[in-house]
Amino acid sequence: MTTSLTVPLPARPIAGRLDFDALYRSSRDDIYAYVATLLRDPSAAEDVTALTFERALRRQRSYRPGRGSERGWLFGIARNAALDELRRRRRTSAMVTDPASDAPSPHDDAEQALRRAGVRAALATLEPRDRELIALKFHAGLSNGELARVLGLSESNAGTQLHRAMQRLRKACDATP
Amino acid sequence: MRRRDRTPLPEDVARDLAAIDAALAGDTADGELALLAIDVRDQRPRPDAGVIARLDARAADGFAPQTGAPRRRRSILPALAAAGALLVALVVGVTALNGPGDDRSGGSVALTQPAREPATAREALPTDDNASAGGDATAQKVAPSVSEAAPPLSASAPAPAPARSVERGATLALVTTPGKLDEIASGVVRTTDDLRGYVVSSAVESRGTGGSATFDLRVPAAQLQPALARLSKLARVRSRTESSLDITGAVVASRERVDALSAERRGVLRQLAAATTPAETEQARERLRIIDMRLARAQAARLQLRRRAAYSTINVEIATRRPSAGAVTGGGTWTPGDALHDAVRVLSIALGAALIAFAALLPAGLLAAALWGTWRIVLSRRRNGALDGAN
Repeated sequence: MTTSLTVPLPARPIAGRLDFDALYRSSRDDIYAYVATLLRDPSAAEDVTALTFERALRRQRSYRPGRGSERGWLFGIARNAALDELRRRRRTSAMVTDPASDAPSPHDDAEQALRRAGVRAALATLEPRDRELIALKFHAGLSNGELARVLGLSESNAGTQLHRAMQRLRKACDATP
Repeated sequence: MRRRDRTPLPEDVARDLAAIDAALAGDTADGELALLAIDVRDQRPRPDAGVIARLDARAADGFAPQTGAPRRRRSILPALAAAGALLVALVVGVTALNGPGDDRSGGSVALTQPAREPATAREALPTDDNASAGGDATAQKVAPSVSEAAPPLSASAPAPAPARSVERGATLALVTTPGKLDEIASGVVRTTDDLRGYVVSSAVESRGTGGSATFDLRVPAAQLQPALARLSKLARVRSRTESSLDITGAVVASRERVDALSAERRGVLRQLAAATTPAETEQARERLRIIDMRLARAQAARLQLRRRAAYSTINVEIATRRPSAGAVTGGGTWTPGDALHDAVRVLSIALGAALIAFAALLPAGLLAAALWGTWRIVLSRRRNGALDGAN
């Protein structure tokens, strides 16, 4: 989320409530991170990220501020686009993350590198629904309220499910050698 | 759809979630859970420079669909739902427009096919016991001479098929303005006279703001259509109904009965001439008196049938109606009361039209909403099924 965007979006009729340019700049990397975690395919993640913004631009008049934040609305579109892609492809691929993140950071010590490798392996063993919860929370940076809106759950239910997913992740980390 | 649930989180869950949020916010990284949260966050996939450049380029292009990309298959369910809803609306609309009660429309013309009267003489003619006095009274009137419907019966030659005798009638409802009622009534009488018909009865009622009139007319059968044509020109026709009844069987039966009674009478006259005792004479005379009475009734019935075939009945009803707005002519004035009346009428018609449209569109809308809702549920389940199938 540190990359700055200098390319202005073309002038489009905007409903007045939605600053699409700002929304794109603030959410591009988060959308990509969420979709990439869900699809585990960087190439498909790029296409679905673009498709998400294409749909959002087309449907921006359907956004209602009273029903949640702009990011929650955008991630709802991203989720549908990603699930549509999963339906279309009907195939899975191994989770591929940024190659730079696979390699230990120069600042990481050996223990930290080992711990993160264990977390990566544990994440791969989680059920898709748990992995989606973690992707929305930790990779996309959504609040619990936004997460609930994306998944169509109540906030307390979403918090409970996130807690359970973290518990399962901890168990998976403990089980990982 | 987001469910509303105000159930508070358990204390341990709320505490762990707060710790996760604090760790992600950089406030603290103490504890196993906080470290795990940071480690998980660090697993976040990041787009490389090439991905960012391509996304930004597409953003600058307004995220236009790429020409080389395969077009995503669109579901046909929404189109089917729209088509189904349109079909239902069409069916309901047509049903509403063609439903019963078409006689509400003005200027209708109804034609009925000739019906057949009972063919047997017993069914068609009054018997000696039940011949009504009314029938006798009408028989006293002299009907205009018409050609005999069938030739007289002959004992030796086979009887040819009789010409058809048909009784025709019509009902005409006219509408005019109150000021023209008398003029129209005079026109009805004048038309009847011109066509050598006659007025059986008439009633004209004039009131201050309206009135009505009814006429029972008889015109020669051959003049029925010209009469209707001329009467229809007198005022606006609200409805016109024509009917016809085939009375050939009754005509033939009445003639046969008259012939039979005449033959019987001749026989009794011969018996009277041959009577030799006072008792035989008295018996023949009594018999002759009874036959004469029956013969008179039969001839009256025969004349009545002839007249029914020779003359057509026209019932004319004239009603008055207030002129509509903008149609005031002559001495009529358009008052504010008239304006209010017309405004209410316009609103009533508009409301009725809106009600019909609503009735036609409501089932279509409900069907479309049900199909759309079903489609959304199916799509949501398919998407979640895709997530469950991924690994």
